[in-house]
Amino acid sequence: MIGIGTKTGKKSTIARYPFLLEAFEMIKDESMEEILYSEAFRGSRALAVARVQSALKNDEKQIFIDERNCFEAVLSFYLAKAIVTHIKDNFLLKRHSIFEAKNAYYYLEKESEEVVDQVAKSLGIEREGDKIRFVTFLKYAPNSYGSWKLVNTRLSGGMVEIDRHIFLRIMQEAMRERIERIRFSVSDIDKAIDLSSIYAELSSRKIAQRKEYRIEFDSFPPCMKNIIAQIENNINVSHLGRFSLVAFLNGIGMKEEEIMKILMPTPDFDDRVARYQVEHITGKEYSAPSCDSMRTYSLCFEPDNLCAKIKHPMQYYEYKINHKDHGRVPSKEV
Amino acid sequence: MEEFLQKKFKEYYSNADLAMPRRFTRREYGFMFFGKSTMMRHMSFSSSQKIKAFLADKAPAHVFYSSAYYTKPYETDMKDKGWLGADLIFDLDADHLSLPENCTYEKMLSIVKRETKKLVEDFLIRDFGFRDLELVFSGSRGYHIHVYDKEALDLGSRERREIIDYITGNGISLDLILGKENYAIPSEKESGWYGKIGRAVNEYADKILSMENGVEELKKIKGIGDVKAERIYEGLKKLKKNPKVVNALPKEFIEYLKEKLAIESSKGEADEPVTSDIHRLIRFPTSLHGKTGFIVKSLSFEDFDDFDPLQDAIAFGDELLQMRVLKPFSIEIKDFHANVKEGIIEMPEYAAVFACARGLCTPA
Ligand code: SF4
Repeated sequence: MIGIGTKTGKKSTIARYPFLLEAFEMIKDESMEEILYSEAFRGSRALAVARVQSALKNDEKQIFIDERNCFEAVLSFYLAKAIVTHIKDNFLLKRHSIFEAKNAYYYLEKESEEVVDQVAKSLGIEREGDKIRFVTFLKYAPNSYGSWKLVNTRLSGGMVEIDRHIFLRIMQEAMRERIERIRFSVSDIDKAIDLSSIYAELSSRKIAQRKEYRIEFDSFPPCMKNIIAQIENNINVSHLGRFSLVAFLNGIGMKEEEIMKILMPTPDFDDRVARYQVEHITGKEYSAPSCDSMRTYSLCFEPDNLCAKIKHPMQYYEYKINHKDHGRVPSKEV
Repeated sequence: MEEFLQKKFKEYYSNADLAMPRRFTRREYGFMFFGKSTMMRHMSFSSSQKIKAFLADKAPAHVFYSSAYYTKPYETDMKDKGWLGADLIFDLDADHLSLPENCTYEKMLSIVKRETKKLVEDFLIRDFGFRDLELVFSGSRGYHIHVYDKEALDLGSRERREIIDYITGNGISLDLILGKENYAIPSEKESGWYGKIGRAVNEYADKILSMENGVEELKKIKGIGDVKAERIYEGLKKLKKNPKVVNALPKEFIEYLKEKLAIESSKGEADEPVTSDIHRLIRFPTSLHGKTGFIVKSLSFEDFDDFDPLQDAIAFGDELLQMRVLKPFSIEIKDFHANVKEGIIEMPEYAAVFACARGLCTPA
């Protein structure tokens, strides 16, 4: 157990490193029922989704933590972890732990040496003066080039000389590993928290990662194909229908100009209005609705076998393009 | 010939005082037999009696165990074995050293010994701070070093490769160590390669400055003429007085230092794949090497200096045996020194086993 809280009495310090056991202590006695459904925890739930979103978007926006919101901050970390655990996606798991570790790194940069050493200790890392064990260095060095290569360090008696910057980078890696290893699951988290924006963002990131990038209309889910067909046949599409399509197309990486071309044949097409709509949706990075919402809006259309296994139209597309070559539909895991 | 060897090995294993490896039930064992080229692997034993009985019964030509510890050492698939950790192993073999041409056996042994000492003292103990080491004669032309320090056991392949790179100076950045724009020679007292290079330059300076015609010696370096040799000579003098001077030496000398002097003079030797392979099989100390009949022998550091495998790793007695020579050879082993011609000759058992194992003779 670390002594940050007891020594300085500052919960806000602990809250910056929520993956430490001592931080978990702060929330472990709360009722899950309350956390998931009570109005009092709405802020924490929203913050959890924001944390996961930031991880996916790689934006290094820091959460400001003080004595007042430290409980919320810790809770949101664990809820975010529960979301990641629930989604069971390796890409997300990695992104999330990298993001949270980076976050903690920025906080550490501003901490006193005392706090740094205490956090290190609770991660199982000991610093002796300006040295650490070479095995720790090897284990957590982010790469093995230049000054990160052991041969270029000052090594003696099993200890490597390090400066503060190197030590913090070593800690970042140790924190990343710790965060990745935490398994925190909350049943029914997907019922209590709307995860559709996360599913959409995740699929969109994974699609954008593909080496060969092109839009494959064949792989669109039935609902989106249906909306496009209606537009092409001059059937009037509801505002929500258009919104869903634009958000979907934007999510899979289509350029604004391309999206405009697809919307063109709409009867009430007004270039300026449509452009405004498209820019509004793409600029704000709205995500397309989940399948559940699509069903509610009656936009879900002739769902197929793959539909039964996914939760978001973006996931449909992502699976389809990734599994196309193998001609197989993914098994149950989502 | 193979029957003879097997019989002799059997005699040895029936009476041998075998040293059980640490946590021997967690290790995988491998054997090679006389007359067979395949290895029998994935064996495990639950007691030392069982290992002894197996060796006495089968008398294998080569006996190995895994440097790794497993929950299920007997599984045939690596991923089912349940890797728990592995000793850190270094292998120094004459086959992997660059030896001078026409190197005698004696000379070869002394080079390997010198390199082993350097590896152990300069690297494993001084730099890495290891404390729990075992030094083993390989039974042939080299030495193995087993490191049992707790923190070394968990190291993965990548980390072990980094250790080898450190030892061999692979991937060293002299721009980092010497400086890029402005050069400075690190102090002799510094840790790691900084100190090694500092010491190498100092030794070099001592050598040149103590020579009658050091300047002439410097001119042998590529690209160094009269003027520069003088400047280097003066630079080395300056450096001896004050090691901290920056740019004391001309760039050409720094190039020479980078290309040749710095690493060549300080690097250690060890076979990379042996160290980085975390599933490696290694010879069982106190077993016999099937190609020499010598004992794979664990040595204390005190005994190492005086250790002579041709005297001290011999497993067999001096009873005289009649042997048929297959091809002429010369031999110097223990008290038996001979130039052997074709025909039948009499030689002590220890020499007979050695020559047989080398395929040079067979029982008459
Ligand atoms: S299940 Fe989802 S992806 Fe499939 S058609 Fe309905 S909304 Fe579209």
